[in-house]
Amino acid sequence: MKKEIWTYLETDGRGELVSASAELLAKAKIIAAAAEEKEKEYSICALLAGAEHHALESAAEKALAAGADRAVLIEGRDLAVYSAEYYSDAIGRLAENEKPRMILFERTTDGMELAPRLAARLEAGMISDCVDLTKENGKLLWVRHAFGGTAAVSVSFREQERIQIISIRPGSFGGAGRVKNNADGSCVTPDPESRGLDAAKTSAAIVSVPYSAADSAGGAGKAAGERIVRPELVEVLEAAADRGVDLSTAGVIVAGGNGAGPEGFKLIEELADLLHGAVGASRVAVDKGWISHAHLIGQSGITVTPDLYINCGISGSVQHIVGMRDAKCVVSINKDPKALIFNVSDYGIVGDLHKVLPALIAEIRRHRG
Amino acid sequence: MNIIVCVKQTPEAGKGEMNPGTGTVLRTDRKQVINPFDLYAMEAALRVQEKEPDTRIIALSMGPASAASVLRDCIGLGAETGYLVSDPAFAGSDVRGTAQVLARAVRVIEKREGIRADAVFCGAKTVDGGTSMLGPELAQFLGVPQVTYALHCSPQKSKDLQESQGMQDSPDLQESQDPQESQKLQGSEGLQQMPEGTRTNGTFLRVEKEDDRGNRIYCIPAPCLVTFTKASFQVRYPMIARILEAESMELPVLSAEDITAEDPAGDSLSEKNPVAAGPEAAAMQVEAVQLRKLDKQSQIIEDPDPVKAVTALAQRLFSEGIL
Repeated sequence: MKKEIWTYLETDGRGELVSASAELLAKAKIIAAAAEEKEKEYSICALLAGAEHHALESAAEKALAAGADRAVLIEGRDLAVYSAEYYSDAIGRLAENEKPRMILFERTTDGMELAPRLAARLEAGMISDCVDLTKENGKLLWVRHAFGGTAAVSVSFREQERIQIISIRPGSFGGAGRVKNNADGSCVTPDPESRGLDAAKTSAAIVSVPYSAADSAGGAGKAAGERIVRPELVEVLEAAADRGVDLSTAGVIVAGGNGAGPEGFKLIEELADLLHGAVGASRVAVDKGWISHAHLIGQSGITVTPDLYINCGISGSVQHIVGMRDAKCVVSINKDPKALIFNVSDYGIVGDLHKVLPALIAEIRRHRG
Repeated sequence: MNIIVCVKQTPEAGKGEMNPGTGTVLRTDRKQVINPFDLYAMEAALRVQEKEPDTRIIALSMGPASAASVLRDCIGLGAETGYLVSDPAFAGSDVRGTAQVLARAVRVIEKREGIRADAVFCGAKTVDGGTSMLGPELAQFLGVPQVTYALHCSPQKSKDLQESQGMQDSPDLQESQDPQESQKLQGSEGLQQMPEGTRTNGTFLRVEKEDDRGNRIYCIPAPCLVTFTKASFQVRYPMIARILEAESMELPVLSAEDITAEDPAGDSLSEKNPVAAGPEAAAMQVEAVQLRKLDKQSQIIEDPDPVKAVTALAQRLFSEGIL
């Protein structure tokens, strides 16, 4: 029987996969191919957890259409609201029984804290925020960035018999599986029939496993039967991100900084809309209250890897560059010809963004007719 | 409330380098400072202390003898003392090993100080390795709940905001104090169960976690672990008198023997948590380190007429299929 590579997938709660999870299945295929050896092949299992069976099932069907070989739904009332404590226990318990070769997470807000907690529970090794994979002398080398992106570190797992936990940076692996973001943030998944899946085959590939936190078997740090405590979610504040597009997976980002001001951000949003992109910001713009913290790109914000990064009025501090240096094409607009941002740019315009952006918006509209 | 703040010595921002041969951090000629994210954790602990003056704050670090300097930084800011876990046997530990050692160290501190660690605070990530793994791994090895990437927190006597005295004077959380709103959420499905047992300690933290889908407010019972990211407030400056005091303080150092031999809390921690520290026991092996240089052509257009500049830029972007 084939060993499995598990992918932990997140949904929007209404039966759709989030775009980072749709990407993860494409990366899992690349990883499965790289890990393949003689008499060692891997199949891909989609892992979905929650309390709403129909929503999970609907997301599982999309995962199967997008490349998973089977899907496991971990279901229970305790999983109605995400918590690292219960989710890591639920996945850990299943993993101890079924012993997959590896469990992959996308480095989302949840994945970033769930994966290491699970790794500790299984006493497994983990690599976080992985961006690429190579193979040397039959050994898999996982690549991640350190020191604010200035170093690439290749890491291997020393314990071949243990489950391996890997979290992967959205947009990495050469943009594999990048989902085109529609203006409303929804992502398109392939048609199940393109994989030759009919209703019967699809339903046969989905299994459901019950979970209750009460009968935990322990794991590292816990004696068997010891109750698992989780924090209580009291309130979800209104989404600071006022747009549906996820920065971490966006193909196009238009960002503003100190030189932008509230008026500049109106132009930045207009350009982002025109390019079906997301809006980003530097620390100064967030601190001045021109835009919410959710849009912050940099050391204390989010790391982005879009195909196109247009920045306006951002001088280019070390902390900001950490978050955007892996963008494929960087276009900078800044009044100061000596701004550090120009050193990490493919293209730049020295000028006032309040004049340059309207001209750029007009030019793109004109070009598109 | 007793808070243990975990801190790490890291190279100053933007100046870190690694030894390309061994993958170890070159520490010799770089200024070593406290990891900036750990300062946010320290600041959060001090803010808890402002609200609950009997709060004890103890700093904890693992590293070479020189790492004692970051513990002294914490004392300068207001920590009571600092424990350094330092042993050649622990050098080269991976995150799993480090988390296991720190979990034991927390138990040793509890025993020696005669306290229970109600909360362990960490930075959400480090500026060198930047894995963000330590906090959640440590929480699991301690067997406590976690909130990661917190912006700020406030102590609470009860999990119910209205019963709590501690929150009334919290300016940080004004926006989330609508009692109807939080009651409504507490009553909604899946959120209402907080088993009775969690009330026995009478101590909770109300934490705002950063989340791009909308920040979340959690109520987390002690003992717990919280990791902090940069909040909107400034981190305070150390007090001169405390800095001088810290210079002459003798800080306790925990060796591998202290960590592994003691059965710290008299519980079965040693059984539950074997320590796999040092390079030989590590799960991960660094194979290579390469510096990543940005190779950008930087075609910069300087034209006083913005329309001409944009036309020149747009032509290139259109022709290369970027736009």
